[in-house]
Amino acid sequence: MRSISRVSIALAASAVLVGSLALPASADDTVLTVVVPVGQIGISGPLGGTAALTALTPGGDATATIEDVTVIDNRAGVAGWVASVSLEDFVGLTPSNIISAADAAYDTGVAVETGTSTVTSADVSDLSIGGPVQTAAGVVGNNTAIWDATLTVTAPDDALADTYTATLTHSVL
Amino acid sequence: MTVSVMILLAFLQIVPATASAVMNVSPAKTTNDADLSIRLLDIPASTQNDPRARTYIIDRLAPGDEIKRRIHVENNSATAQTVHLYSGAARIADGAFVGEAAGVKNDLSTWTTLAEPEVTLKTGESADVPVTIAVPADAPEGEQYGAVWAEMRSAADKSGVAQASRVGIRIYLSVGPGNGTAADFTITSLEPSRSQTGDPQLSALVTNTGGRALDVTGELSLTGGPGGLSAGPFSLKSATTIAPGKTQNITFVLPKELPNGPWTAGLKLKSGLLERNASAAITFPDAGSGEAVTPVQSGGNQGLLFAAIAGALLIVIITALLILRRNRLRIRTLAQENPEPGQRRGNRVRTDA
Repeated sequence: MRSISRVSIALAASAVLVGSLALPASADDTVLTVVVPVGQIGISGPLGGTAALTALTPGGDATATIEDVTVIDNRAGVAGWVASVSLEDFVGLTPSNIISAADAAYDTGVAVETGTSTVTSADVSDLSIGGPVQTAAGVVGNNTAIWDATLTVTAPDDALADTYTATLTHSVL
Repeated sequence: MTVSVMILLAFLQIVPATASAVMNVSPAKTTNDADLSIRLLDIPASTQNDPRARTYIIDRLAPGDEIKRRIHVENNSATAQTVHLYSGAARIADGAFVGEAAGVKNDLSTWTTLAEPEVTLKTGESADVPVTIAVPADAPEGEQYGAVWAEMRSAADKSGVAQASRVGIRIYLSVGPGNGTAADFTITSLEPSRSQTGDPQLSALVTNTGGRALDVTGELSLTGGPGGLSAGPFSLKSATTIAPGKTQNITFVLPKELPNGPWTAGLKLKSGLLERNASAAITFPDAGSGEAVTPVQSGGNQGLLFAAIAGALLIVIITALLILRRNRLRIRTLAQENPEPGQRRGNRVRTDA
């Protein structure tokens, strides 16, 4: 009898200890949380920020080279990542002048990698839909990938003369 | 009493000690970080050993519940930047977790709010931003996908293409009462084939039989080949995301030099802590598709194994304590010959305190 009552005291004490150890810094959750000791994942866009397209004539192509898109994964884990691109429609200084992003394509260069991972490249032929351009798998620990790409825009035959602009978005998830 | 608490304390501290060891392994982050970086700061204590839960926001909430997490956003570009912060929709399509463009909403993205819509950070500066996911009381049950994004935009320039770079943290949120159906999957069949370029391939048909989305990765080992050859392990080229109830083909592309076989294919697929193994005898065809086979499966759930080991250790410690106590009592009883019952009780209380 005596031993049993002692054990229950010990267990109660240990339960209290579990609670105090697991308490997070900010405990306004009903669920206990802990701070994750992992690094971060990040993206570096092309230097200079703006890619200049070559001059475009109706029915012709214009290209822009996008250099040194970089993903740095310092999470030191095994989770892969996917880099994807999307483009808004090109809008002229006269806002009714539009060249659809469906007429733009992204040709992805092979990524130069460091660390342990397998990065697979893919092209996107319709940037209005967008899609993955680099997919990293088999990740073990920190890894990086850096690549160049070519953006090609085909102007429709009936495109009006204007200065067009659009935002190209690189996403890493 | 003092002794026993110390032993238990040592045992309980194993988990935090391991966690800080992991932190030491990662190199100094400031030397090699991208222009814009993000990380998840808090995760539920119960899932801290799950590698997926350390990277993504993975949770199950009942309708009407709310959770708070923090994200860490850092600017390491050469100039001060305004970082836009927002929640967005995501979906699982063709085995990939796809984040939608800014402005595309789903239920989850409307339930997810960030404390700041944007933060302005100088070079090297960072910010911790709270994220709240509040599930409304009338939310439908099921799993939803989304992302929390941090985005930098280049200055608006009317000469071409402006650039936006964004990096996000995935959200896998299951809505419903209780814990829901556990994550699980089965490997239904293995099909050897040859690609159009002549590379041997092995496709595994994987069905998500659990209640949560999976990010399946894995490796393939070939053994018992012609002349006793072994090959591999070959790892999967990309992680495949499978929604609950869905089936997806996972394909290993193998080197052209491999003989046709027969081989014994050993497959190890996992998602987070969940692991399933399958093996089958296969032969690669000279061209096209070969014969699909049903593999022999075995679950290698390491999470359960760890839980069992931890449980066994706890029992051993408690038993040891019991024996210690009993011995101590016996010694005390022998030492105090013919003690008064009240006095003995008093002694014990004093020692324990």
